[in-house]
This record gives sequence, structure tokens and C-alpha cells, in this order.
Amino acid sequence: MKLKILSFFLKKKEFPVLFSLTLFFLVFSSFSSRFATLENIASIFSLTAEMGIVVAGITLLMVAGEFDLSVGSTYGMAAVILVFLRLMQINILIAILLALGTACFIGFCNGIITLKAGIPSFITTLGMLMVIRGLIYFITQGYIYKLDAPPLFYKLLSDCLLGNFRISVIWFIIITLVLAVILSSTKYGNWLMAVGGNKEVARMLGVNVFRVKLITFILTSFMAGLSGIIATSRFGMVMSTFGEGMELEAITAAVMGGTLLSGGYGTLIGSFLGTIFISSVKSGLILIGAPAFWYQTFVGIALIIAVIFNSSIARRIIE
Amino acid sequence: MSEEKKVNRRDYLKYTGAAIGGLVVGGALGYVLKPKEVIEKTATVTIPGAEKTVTVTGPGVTITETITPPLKAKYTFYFVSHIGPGDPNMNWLTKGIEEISKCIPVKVNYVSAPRAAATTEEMVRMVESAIVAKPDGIIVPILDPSALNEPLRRAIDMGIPVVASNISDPRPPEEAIPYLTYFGGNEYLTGYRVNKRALELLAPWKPKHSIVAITHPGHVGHMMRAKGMEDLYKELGLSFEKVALDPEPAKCYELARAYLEAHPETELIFITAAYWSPYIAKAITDLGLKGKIKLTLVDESPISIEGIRRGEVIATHSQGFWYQGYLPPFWLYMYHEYKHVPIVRDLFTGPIVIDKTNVEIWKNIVRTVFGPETYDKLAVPIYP
Repeated sequence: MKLKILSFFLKKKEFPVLFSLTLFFLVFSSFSSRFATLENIASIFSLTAEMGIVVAGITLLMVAGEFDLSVGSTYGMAAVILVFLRLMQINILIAILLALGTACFIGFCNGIITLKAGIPSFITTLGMLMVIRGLIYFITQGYIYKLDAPPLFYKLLSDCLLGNFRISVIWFIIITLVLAVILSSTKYGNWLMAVGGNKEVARMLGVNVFRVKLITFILTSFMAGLSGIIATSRFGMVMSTFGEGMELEAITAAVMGGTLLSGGYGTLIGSFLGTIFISSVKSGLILIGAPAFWYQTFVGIALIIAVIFNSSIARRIIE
Repeated sequence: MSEEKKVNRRDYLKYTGAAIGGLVVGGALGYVLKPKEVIEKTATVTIPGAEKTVTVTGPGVTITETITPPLKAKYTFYFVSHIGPGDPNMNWLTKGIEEISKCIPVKVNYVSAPRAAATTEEMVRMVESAIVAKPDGIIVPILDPSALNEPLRRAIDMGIPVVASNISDPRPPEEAIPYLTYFGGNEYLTGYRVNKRALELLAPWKPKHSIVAITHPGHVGHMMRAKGMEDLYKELGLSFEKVALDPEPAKCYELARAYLEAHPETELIFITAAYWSPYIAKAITDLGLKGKIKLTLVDESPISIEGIRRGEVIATHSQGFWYQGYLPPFWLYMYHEYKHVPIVRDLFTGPIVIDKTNVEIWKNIVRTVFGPETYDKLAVPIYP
């Protein structure tokens, strides 16, 4: 019986990251009594919610065998557009739609350039990262700008629900669950897996590779834009560095969660757990009193160990 | 042939056109969303008794502001700067130049990129252009010593005296560019003096534990500010720690929050970049520590000035930007007329500490230099 239960869990794609996360929580909780407090967990979840929405989008794109390095810039651009449109007294709903529309348009450009010009998405989106970040610098001129929005906007996107748990966590969970269902139980999800696994075979089976990938590029940027808007509602302000460096953390979280860099395989729940892992590593290190300038190094080491561990477990499952 | 390769020319052109069109629309959107006052600012400033012309403007084009003095110019200098019209701090420099141009017969061409800041490549190109003009002197921030080394040494060899302003060459004197002198701030002293003044103002109260919140870990300026505070606290025997945050605002907030949760005894935070202070203040507020933790900042930016006025900030500093525009032309003039050079190679124009005793004076100065509209827009409250 015990063996059956163990075998059931071992067969789950999410098991390696869940195991790493549990181990990580146990280790950090034993070093710091503050780590496992509700307050700290709520704080971790708030950050997880915003990054997790980006990770959810990028997971789908990675399953389809593509990358998007411009998600951090898209996240920042959506936030900047929202704040500046509000400064121009544009209606909040129109401002949100335009901000999300711009994000989708960035995704559309990424998709079209990648798929039609045959440039690897790594290069296309790296270029887009720079183009968009440059525009953000140009618009903000390096300064900070306050968001002026009606109370309902904050209530719907970032208010605290219970203690320090924010409503954005609910959005994150809903989005993850919806996308997880789409990935595992719909035609589009099957097409994604097929396209990422072997696009020639997928094409022979009648899958429109171009359309599936283009939609996923747009969806990924939409998620990044939505996340940028949620983060802006949490802080009530925006500045030029908003979302900088987020792209690599998002890809790392997806990989930690079991999504393959080569495409064709991935799980939204795994990415969800991977995001929690990434978000909690830094605060965990601070709470246990790790020296300030070694955070990055520790994070890198922790990630490498976790990924080695994940892959070895994943390999055993496959065997 | 695969389906992907069967794309005909028409489709290719259609999609490429759509992508290019998209980027153009994106760029146009960015341009439209650009803060208005930044565009208007360069065209509306007038200088009593002096002629000021904006000769060229536009994206990707170098801006040259010719500040012609009321006196007949005897010498022409080029001030090649990385600080452009998009950065309100440029006004400090141009106003300093305007004032000195009224006193001595010099003409100063302020050359910069048409944005907030020029890149290293643009700086090198602008220095090269200045050398071609064979001026009587070049004033330049040493933005990148290795990139500017060759052109500036060539200028000096050609007999064009060079004065560094705003940023010095940090290399040892035997390796550094042999400019006449440097006028600018001192980051180490900023960390030291701002916090010393804060402790004087708060005395006899002493913080149980203080930190320097480094918003840009690894940035030399920020690290020097942190070192200044560290040495002060060592001298005084007070509890202190350096905390590396992150330039990305959300991460900056989370790291600050995690640290303060682990160290609730923290009572004073020195933040190494003023515009990151609202994110750290949000962490303080969310943990219910507002009022318990004192803040010290940097720069005479509106956010810092208003922070002091509201009682949220104890002290900040100015690096004496105005002097960095005023003094270099003066010393180049003295060099040409009398072969005088300052005795010390590095002349510090700052830190000038700003606190509640002189904040109103500084508010008036900054408001005048930035313009009321820009000042009010940038004076974002630190606490939510």
C-alpha cells in the first residue's frame, strides 16, 4: 500500500519541485522561527502571485518550444502605460485595456518576427526586451510616478483579503488552474505539447503550428502585462526598473517546476511551486541572516542544486 | 519543402510590415506618453542679459546649447555632458554656466544627448566633435575612463585643457587622464556626513540598529556611500549592517520587508537612492513600523526635500551640481589668463547636507531650477 502511494507521487511531474520546496521550507524554518510565520508566507505569496502569472504564461510558451525574454519589459511597459494614461485622465477601464492591448501587441510582434523571419525566439525577444526597456526609460526619464486610480481598482487587484494575503493570490491561483486545465484537457493544450515536442509531426497531424505558437506568444505577453498592472496596483507607483530581470527568474521557476527547456513537456502546477520556491529563497536567506552580498550566490547555488535534484528524480520516474 | 518555408513573398512582406508598423506605433505611443514638460523645458528658459539658443533637437541628435555671455567672449569652452534635457539636473549645470558667463568673457557650449542620459558611445562621439571644434577647453564627466581615455589624452596633447566635472577618473593618478582638476561630489563623504548630521539631530537618542539599504548592489557610488556610513558607525560603536536590495522595485520591497521582519530592532535606514525610498517605506508601513524607523536619503531631489519637510526624512545631501557648472569655466579661464590651477586635483563641491534647518532654502532653489510643475510631479510622498 505504502509503495503504491509512493509510486503514485513519484509518477507526478510536480513531485521533484514539491519535494525540493518541502525540504527548503523545513531547512529554513529550522534556522529561523520567523520563516514559517503566516506573515512571511503571505508576503512570499504576494510576490509569487505577480511573478507566478508571468510564469504561467511563459510555461505555455516553453511547452510550445519557444522562449520569451521580453516578459519583464512587457510587465514594466503595461504598468507605465497604465500610470501615464491615468495621468492624462483617461478612464481606468480604457487605460487597462490599452495597457493590456500594448502587451498583446508586443507578443504579436515577438510571434510574427520569430515565426515568419525564422529567427530564434531567444534572439527576437532579447531584442524586444531592449526595445521596450529603452522606451520605458524614455517615457519615465528615470523618475517615479504615482498611480491615480479609483478604490475599486485596488480592491479588485491587490487589497488584502485575510491578514496579509492579497486578492492577487486568488487571481494567480485561478489563472494557474484555468491554464492547467487548458494545457491538460483541451485541444489547444494537446497542440501545444505536440508543437513543442515535434512540430513536423504535429503539422502532419493537422496542427496549425504558426497559429498555435502565435496565440501562445500573445498569451504570454498578456499575462506579463496583467501581472504588471496587478503589481502597479499593489505599490501604487511605477518606475523605470519595474520588472527588470524578471524574465530569467520566470524561466528558472518554470524549469524548476519541471518544464523542459527543449519544449513539449511542462506543468502549470509545477511552475506554481517553482515560483513559490524562487520567491521564498531570497527572503529565506535574509531571515536566516545570510550575509547581504552573498544572496545572489546562494540563490544560484540553491537553484542549481534544486534543478540537479529535480532532473535526477524526473529521470528515475521516466526509467 | 516544409510548410514554414512555403511562405510566399506577399505574406512575408505583410507580416514584416505589420511588425515594423507595430514597432513604429509602439515608439509613437512612447513618444506621446513622454512627460510634456521635459519637451517644453529646453525651449522656454530665458536668461536675462544673455542669449541662449537651442541649435539642434530631435531623437538621436546631439543637443548643443550655446550660452553666449553679455561680455565679448574671449574663450570658447565645450561642456560635454552625459546629463541631457530629460534630466532636470541639467538645469543646475546650465544655470551655473549662465552665472559664470555673466562674470567672465567666456562662451560655453553645453553638449548632451537629447534624453535624460547619454551612453558611453555618445559621450565619446560628442568629445570627438568637441575636439574637432578646437575649443579653448573641454569640461567633461569621466563617465567611462577607459572609453574616454584616448580622445581626452589626444585633446590634452593638442593643447586643449580638460577639466573633469561631476564624475572623476577613479584610477590611480599615474593611470588617470591628466585633466587639470575635478569638480564634483564625494560619495564616501556623502554616506559619512549625511548620517553624522542625522545622529546629531536625533541626539541624545541613538538607534539600536541601523542599516544602509543598497538599492543598486555593486554600483561603485552606492557602495562608497555605504562605506561612508559603515565607517561612521564603526567610529561611534553603533550597531550597523549593509543590506543588499535590488533595483527592481517589487524585489526591493520584498527584500526590505524580509530584512525588517528578521530585524525588528532596526531604527534607522540610509537609502542609497532617493527614488527607491517609497518602496522601502511601503515595507515599513506594511509591517506597522512607520514612525519607529528614521530615514536618511541622498540627493536634493523633490522626493527627498519634501520628505524632510513632512518629517519623514532626517537628512539628505546635495553634491553641489550648480558649482559643477559654475566652477569649471572659471578655472579654465584662470588657466588661460594666469596659468593658475587649483592646488588639489580633486575639488569637492559636495556633500552639502540638507536637513530641517535649511530645507526651505533648498526647496526654493530646487523649485526654481526644476520648475514648479516638474518639482510637484517628482515630489512623490515617501509613505503611502
